[in-house]
Amino acid sequence: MNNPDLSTGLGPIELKNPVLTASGTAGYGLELRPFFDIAELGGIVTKAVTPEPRVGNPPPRLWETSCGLLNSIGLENVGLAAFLKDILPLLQKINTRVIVNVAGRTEDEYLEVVRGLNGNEGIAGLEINISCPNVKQGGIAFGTDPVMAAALIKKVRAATDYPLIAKLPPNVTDIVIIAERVMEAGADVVSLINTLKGLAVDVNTRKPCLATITGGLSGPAIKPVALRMVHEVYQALKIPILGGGGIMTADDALEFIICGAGAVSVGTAIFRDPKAPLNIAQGIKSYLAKNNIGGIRNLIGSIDLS
Amino acid sequence: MLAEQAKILENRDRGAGVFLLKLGSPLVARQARVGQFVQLLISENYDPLLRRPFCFYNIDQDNGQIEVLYQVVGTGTELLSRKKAGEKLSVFGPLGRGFEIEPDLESAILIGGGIGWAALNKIHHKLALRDIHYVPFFGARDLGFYQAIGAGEVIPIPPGNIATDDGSYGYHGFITELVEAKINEEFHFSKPTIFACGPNPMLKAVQALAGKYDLKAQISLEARMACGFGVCLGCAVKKAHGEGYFKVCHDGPVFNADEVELSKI
Repeated sequence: MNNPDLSTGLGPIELKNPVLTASGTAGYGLELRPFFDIAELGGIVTKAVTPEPRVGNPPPRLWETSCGLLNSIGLENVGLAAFLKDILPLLQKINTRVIVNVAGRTEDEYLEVVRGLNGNEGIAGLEINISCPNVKQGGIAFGTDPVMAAALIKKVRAATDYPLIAKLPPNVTDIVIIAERVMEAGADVVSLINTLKGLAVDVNTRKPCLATITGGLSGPAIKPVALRMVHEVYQALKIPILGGGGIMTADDALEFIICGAGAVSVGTAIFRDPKAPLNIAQGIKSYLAKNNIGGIRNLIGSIDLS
Repeated sequence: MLAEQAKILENRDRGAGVFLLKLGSPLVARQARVGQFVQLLISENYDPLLRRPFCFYNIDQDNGQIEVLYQVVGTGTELLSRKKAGEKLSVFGPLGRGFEIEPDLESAILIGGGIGWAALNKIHHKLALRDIHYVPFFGARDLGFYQAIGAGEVIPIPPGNIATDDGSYGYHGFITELVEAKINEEFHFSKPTIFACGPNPMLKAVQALAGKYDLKAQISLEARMACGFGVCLGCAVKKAHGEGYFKVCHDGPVFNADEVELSKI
C-alpha cells in the first residue's frame, strides 16, 4: 500500500490525518510555523481561551520528574477578545482544523467564551476544558463530578452549533461514567486525558517544587494510564475519542488509535522536539504502508483481545 | 531557530564540576548572537525528558563551532559531563533575546558571578576590544571555582576586580561591593552600562546598584524551562511594572534590570 489514507474523523469533525497538537503545548499553533508547515497536521487545539486575559500562576510553574513533567501554568492566555481579533484571523488562513479550547471558572464564563466564538469561520470545533488541575475554581471541579460535567456540557450544547469535544480529567474513579454523561448531554467527542494531578517536594527545603503545590503530570510517564482510559471508554461506549497523554512517537500514537482513538493529541513531546507532531504523522503513514493497511480508519479500535 | 545534530569536539573537565563543551554546529553558530542560548537534548530516552538550556560561552562563526560552559548540578548536566568527543548531540537554537551593545556606548561594567560567567565570556571579549571605558568584575565561591570557570583567561580581569565568598582569592566578600567602590572612584563623569549574570542574590544587588546610581543594566536570567521557544509558558518571571509575567526563554534571557522582579522567578 503505497499511499495509505490518513484521513479520519472525530464525530462530525473530518481530519486529513489523525495528529493534532494538545492544548497548552503549542500556543495557538502559529508558534510552530518556524519549524514546519502546520497545515501538514490533522489539526491544532489552541491553548485555553477564557473570557478575560489571564496572567497565569506564579513561578515555579514547572518541575521535571522521571519521564514526566509537572506543570502549573494556570491557563495563561490573551482572553477572548484578543483571540478573536489577533489570533483567529491568522488561524483562518491555515489549511488545517482549528479546535478552540474553552475554559472558565464558572458556567457563565464557559458560555461567554462559547457565545463569543459563535459565528466565526474557521473553527472546526470546541474542546471544553472541564479538567484543568491548576485552576482553583472551575476546571477540575466540573470534570470530576459527572452531574456538574453533564450540566455544563448541556448548557454549552444549547449555546452553540460547533462540534463539542469534552476534555475529561483522569483524576476520577470511573472515567466511563463521566464520558457517558457528557455524551448524553450533547458532546460529540471526548478528549482523553488531561494531566494527572501530581506533586513533587524539595527534600532540602521541604517545600513543594511548584508554587501552587500541586500540578498536572504529563509526558511518557502517564501514557499507560491514558491508554487504559481510552481503552475502557472505547470498549464500553464506542464513542469518538481524541486520545493523548505522553505520546512521543508514531508507535505511541498507534497504540492510542488501536485502543479506539479516532485521532491523537501530541503535547509534551513538542517541548523536546517542535517537529514531533509532524514526525508522528509521517511515522503513522509509514506504519500503514509497511503493514499494508489501507487507511487509519481500519485501525481505530482494532485491538486484538482474543 | 533550528535543530541540528552537532558533533561533540571536546567536553573538557575543568575541575570543581565545571566542564567546557565544544560543538561543531555550523547552522546554529551562523545565527547565534551574544547572550542567546541553546537547548541540548542530553538523553535519547526519556529521563531526563526535557532538553537543557545553556547560553553561548563562545561563538565561532568562521569555524562553525559553539561552546558551552556548564556546571554539573543535576541529572542532566551529570549525563552531559560523561559525553565524549565524537558523539552527536541535538542542538536547538539559537534561542531568546541576547545582550544589546548600544553603538554609542561609552563605558561599561561587567559583573559575573560563578557559572554565570558562561553568559558573559563572549560579551567580555567584545567589550574589551572596544575603545570604551570598560571594567570587568568576577566573583566566585572560592579560588578553585574561580580557576575552573576561567573568567578572564583570554582577556584578563584585573586581580583587584575579583572576589571570593571565602576570601581564598581576591576580595573577601560580595563582588557588588567591589563594583560600588569602583563606581564611586572611577565613574564620576560617565554612566556605565552594566552587563551581568550570576546567582539571583547577586542580580538583585545589581538591580539595587543600577537603581541607586541611575545606571542601565542588562541582566541574563536562568530559569527552569521546558520548550525554550515560548509555547510552554513555564519559565515565568514577574514583570516589575504592570501585571503578569515575562518568559525567560522568549522575552529574555537578557532583560533590562528594571523590567523584572527577581523575587518572583
